[in-house]
Order: sequence, then C-alpha cells, then structure tokens
Amino acid sequence: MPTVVVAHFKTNIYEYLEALQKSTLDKLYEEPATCLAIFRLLPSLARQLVMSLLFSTQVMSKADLRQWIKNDKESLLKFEEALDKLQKLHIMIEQENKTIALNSSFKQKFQECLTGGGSHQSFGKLYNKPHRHSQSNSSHKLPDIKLLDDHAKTKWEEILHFMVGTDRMSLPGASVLKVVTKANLMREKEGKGLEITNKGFQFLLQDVNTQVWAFLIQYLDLASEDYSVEGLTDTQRQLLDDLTNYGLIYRPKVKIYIFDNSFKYNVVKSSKRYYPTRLATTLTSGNSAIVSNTTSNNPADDDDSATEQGFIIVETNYKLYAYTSSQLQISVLNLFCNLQFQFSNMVTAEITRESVRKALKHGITASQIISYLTSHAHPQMKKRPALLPSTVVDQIQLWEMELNRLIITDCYLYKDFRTFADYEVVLKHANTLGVVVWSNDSKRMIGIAEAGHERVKAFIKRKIVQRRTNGGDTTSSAGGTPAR
Amino acid sequence: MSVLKDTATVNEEDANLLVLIIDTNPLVWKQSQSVLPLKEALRHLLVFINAHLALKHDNDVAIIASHIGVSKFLYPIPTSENSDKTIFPNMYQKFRVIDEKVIANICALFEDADIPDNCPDKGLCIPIDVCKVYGKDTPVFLQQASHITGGKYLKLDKAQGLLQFLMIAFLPDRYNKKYLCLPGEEKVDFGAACFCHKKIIDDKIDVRVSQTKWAEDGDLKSGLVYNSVISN
Repeated sequence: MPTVVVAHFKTNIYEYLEALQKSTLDKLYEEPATCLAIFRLLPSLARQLVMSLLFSTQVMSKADLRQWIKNDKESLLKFEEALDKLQKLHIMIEQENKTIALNSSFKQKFQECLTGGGSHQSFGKLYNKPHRHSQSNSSHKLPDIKLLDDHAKTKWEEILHFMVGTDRMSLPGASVLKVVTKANLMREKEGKGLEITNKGFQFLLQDVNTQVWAFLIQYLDLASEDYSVEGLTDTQRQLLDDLTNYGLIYRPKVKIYIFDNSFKYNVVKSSKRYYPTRLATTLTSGNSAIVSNTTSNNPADDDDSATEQGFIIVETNYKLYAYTSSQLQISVLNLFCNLQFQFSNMVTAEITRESVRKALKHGITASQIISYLTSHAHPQMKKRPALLPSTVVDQIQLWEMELNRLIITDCYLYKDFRTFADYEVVLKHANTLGVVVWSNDSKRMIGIAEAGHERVKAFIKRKIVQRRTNGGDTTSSAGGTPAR
Repeated sequence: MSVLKDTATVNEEDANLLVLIIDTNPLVWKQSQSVLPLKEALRHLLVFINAHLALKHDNDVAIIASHIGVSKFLYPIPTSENSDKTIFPNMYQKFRVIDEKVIANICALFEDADIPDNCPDKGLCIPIDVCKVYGKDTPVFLQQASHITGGKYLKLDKAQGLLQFLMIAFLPDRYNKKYLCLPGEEKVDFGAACFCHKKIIDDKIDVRVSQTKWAEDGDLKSGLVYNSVISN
C-alpha cells in the first residue's frame, strides 16, 4: 500500500541527521558554517529558543524554559516539538541534574558564527582588501546571478529529463547515474539501459528543494562508501565536481594568460573558484519554489521559465490544458493524465479514473498530484477563490480512497475476562491511555494498539496482585494474543 | 520590528524585515559612556542583526540612525560599486557585508557634521518595539507608539546585558510571538504627547483630537513619523 505522504523537504534531512551518530553530529558542530545551516533547518520556535539561550550564562531547567511559552495547548505543543527536535539533533542536552544546556561545541561555534570570531568586527577593520582578480591577469568575468541560475537550471533539468527519458538531453555525469540507481529512482532494465521506478515517479512530482535534498542525502550515503579511503582533499575536490554536475555549484573554466619572454601561453583549466548557485544557497531556507524565484528575476524570460510560473488550467469537467512545450513537463503530466492533443505551445489532457489509478499504482499519492496541480496552476486559475475545482480535487482523493478501504493496524487482543467488571476496568484504563483500537462488550474482547500493550499488561498484573493480597480470588485473566 | 504584509496569515517560513532605528544622538551617548559606550552597544547590536539574519535565509534588515535633527540610512545604501567584495573565511558573507557597511556609515555619520537632510520614515505598517537603553525619563511618545502598533516597550535594567535582552525579547518574529510569553510592558501613559517636543500635553481634551494637535512651532517632518504610527 502506498502510504507515502508528501514529505516536506525538511523531513528528509531531519531523518538523515537524526540517524547520525552523536560523534558525527558533534563533528558537524565544530564548524560555524554547518552550525548555521543546521540551525536554519530547525522549526521556527526552536530557532528562537537557541537564540535566547545562546548568549545566556544562566543555568536553566526545562521548567524555566517553559516559562517563556504561553500556557495554551498549541503553544506547548510547539514547544515540545521544538525541544524534541533540538534534543534529537544533540543541539540541546538535558543533563543529569535536569538542567538544559546547549551543546557546548555548538554554542561556541554558533556564537563565533554570529560574532565573526570576536575580533573580526571590532572597529578598526573597515575596508576590504582588493579583490584578487584585479591583480591577476585573468580574463574571467565574475558570474552574475542569471548565469548561475541558468547553470543550476540546465544541470538540474538535465537530470529530470534523463529520468523521464526525453531524448533531447545530453547524458548526465556518471555520478548522477550512480545516484539515481542507488537511490532506486531508476533501475537497470535488461539490455535497455535505465528505467524509471515508482520512487522515481514520486520524486518527479516533488518540489525542487525536496528533490535536491533527497539527491544530496543519497549522494552522501554513496560518497561515504566510495571515497572514504581517499585523501580528504581529493574527496573534497571530487565532491565539488559532483555538485557541479548537479547544478548546485558553478565552476567556471578560466583562461589564464601567462606572459613569458613575450610569448603568450594560453592555458585553459578549471577555475579554483567555486560559486554556489541559488539551488544550493536556498536549500536551508523554507521556501521551496526556487525555480520560480530564480526565473522571476530574469526579465528575459525564455519559454521554460514562463511555464514554471504556472501553466496548468484544470476545468470542472476534468479537462486539463497545459501551456507548455517542455518535454519534461509533458512527461510529468503524463504520469497522471491522459494526454489528448499536443499543439506548439500547449497540450490538452484529461484526468480520468484510469489515469489517476495508474499513477496511484506507481506509488504517487493523491495529495502529490493535487499539490503538483496547485503549485503549477496558471495565473488565471489563481484569480479564483478556490484554486482547483473542488470537484476534481475531491474526486482524485476519492479515487485514492477506493484503493485504501482497509487500514491494517497491528494490535494485541485481550480476551477471556472472567467478569464484565474486570473487562470494564481494563477497557476504561486503556481508554484513558488512548490505546484502544477495538472493543466488543458482549464478547469481552479488547484490541490494544502495540504501543499500549506493555502498559495495559502491567496494569492487569497490578490488579491481579492487588486482588491476591486482598485475599480475594484471582478473578481476572488476560490473554495477550497478537491479532490483525 | 518585523514586517509582514498581512496580519491574517503569519506563516512559519515568512521572511522578516527588521527595521532597526538607533538613536545616535552623540550627546546622550557621551553621557552614557560609563554605563554603555556606543561602541559596546553597537557590538551588541551587530550580533543581534546577525542573529536576525541567521534565523532565515530570506530575512533582511534596514538600519536607520536617528541623529540630531536628521535620520539616515546606515544600511542598505544604494552603491554604484559592489564588486569590491572580499570573501572572509571566518564569517558568513552577508553578516560581514552588513556589519562593515553599518560600521563605516556610522563612523561617517559621526565625522560628518553637515549631513544632508532627509527623512526616511514613511508609513511603516509594522509593530514598533522600543528598547530604552539609557536615561531616566520615560519617552511617552515612543511608549505610546509601541503600544498602538502592538509592539513592546522595554527598559533595559543592566546595560551590559543588552545583547541577551535583545535576543530574548526583540528577536522573535510574529509567528513566534504567538507562542511566547515576552517580558511585559510597563504602564502606558496615554496622555497626549506632542510629537515635536515629546512632552505630555497637560490639558487633556479628547485623546484623538489632542494627539493630532500641532505644537505651535511644529514642523511637518516630525509629524510624518507620528502619522505613520496612527495610520495602523
């Protein structure tokens, strides 16, 4: 059963970070830059808590921290969520004496990050050193934002194009191929090269930030396997090359003129400078629509960027018009629509039960389809109060529910209670714990969720012991039988 | 301090613009030399600014110096040359650039006695938080301004603790303010304050009427600040 929820891109990276060893995390917190990056991934309230504690010298307990939080349910929930995340990532540590402190290495390095290591921003040092370029004889121009955006876009789309199998692309770098197969986004098909998988289909519908994170995490897993034996600098150089392939980093080719006894040598090599593109720099920001952000800054919109600002019109009669000529977009639409006609600047398609079921069977969820349609809706659609026609949205969800009529929950079955009173006491207790999955009064049976099994078992045992010491008969017996 | 276009929708990931207005009156700062020198205060403020920028990638900042008779942008200032960037390995680029600009501009401000007159204050549709660092008398005018806009007015007890104070009470954006208990306001004096002389007008007529009452030699410039406050 496809139970994948549309994951916010942060979910991916949290999972990755939380799975790391404590020592690995501590190593990450030794660099101010990584402290900042991880800090920006935290929930908003957690960020505020870190900031409040960062320059504080007071010893705080959890109760002290709670004083800062308003005393209503939502606030406390947010607070618990924030604390939980901070503790899982070892940024905040609860000590034995119940006091709470920031990870000392994180605290120190993050302070350095904000203060610039103390002496840096004291009054004397105001003026910059001249840029190295003005001294060297390099003919290289500083790349502007447009160039970097273009680089990021072409490189990233190259990967996506490759995945959907449109033919106009050039083959992406070898490291890209490695990652897509390793991440199970594509798999080897006998004699036919690579073929997209269910996971790959889901990947295509996600927003760019999620895609990039998913890719990077896979890459990191790979990288630790492939390059651990090599020297550190080699590893780093290799990493940069690979990130260039993904469009996260721009590395210009430089012509360096060397003047030597009136002979002019012209040496072309890769620059020692790297420029992170906005695909990379906005990774830790919460706003996911990088591509649309980036293109809106280019006044000279080309075809592709216009489509990224929204190109899909959905009608209440399930007809879909997409103003795009991009093979990539059309292929993505083909995942869940029946394509009908293609014109030079648009395609028409229809959303049908069959087409949606086909997508669902590939592991794509209804909410993924809906969020894709929403985020790519044509500006004309945005003028309406409800973006997508509610009939279509509801129907897509209904089609998904058709496939999920049964929900399977593992639970323990408690039966053979000797008296109804015994049954009632246990049921009442389990109800207060909120772990009752199912119960039947006439059969005296209770289904207890796995999470509550131990607690309910302990409760019953306690009751039995109580009865015995009170001199009464052992009246209750409980069977813990796993059932589905 | 935080700018949001629409109060109704405060999202977790909305970017915030911090508008920081620093009272740079040299006379007052000279008096406060023993408690909190300007240099020290600036150091705290810069870390605070960096902290704000660190919260979110898209967060931005505008810093205005309220000097004698004029106010001047310390950051951002439109410059024609922006290619002279040097990369400092020890510091996040954006922090560095802003810190340098602010320091350079504030130095220029103190050296340059003859400052061109411009008033940057326009209709700021935002809560105004006020942090009073030094001095005995209560600035009723600012206190009212922060109250009306839903901001905070706080007086700093220990001047050395400025940074920690800013971090706890002034850093939270609107989203976080929904969940946080922040230091409470002192009693607000609703007596009408004259916006030119910042003094309480004694003959309390109707508050609305007297608040818009002009002092006799009042000039339009300082009126602008005031109007922007009540236009919320």
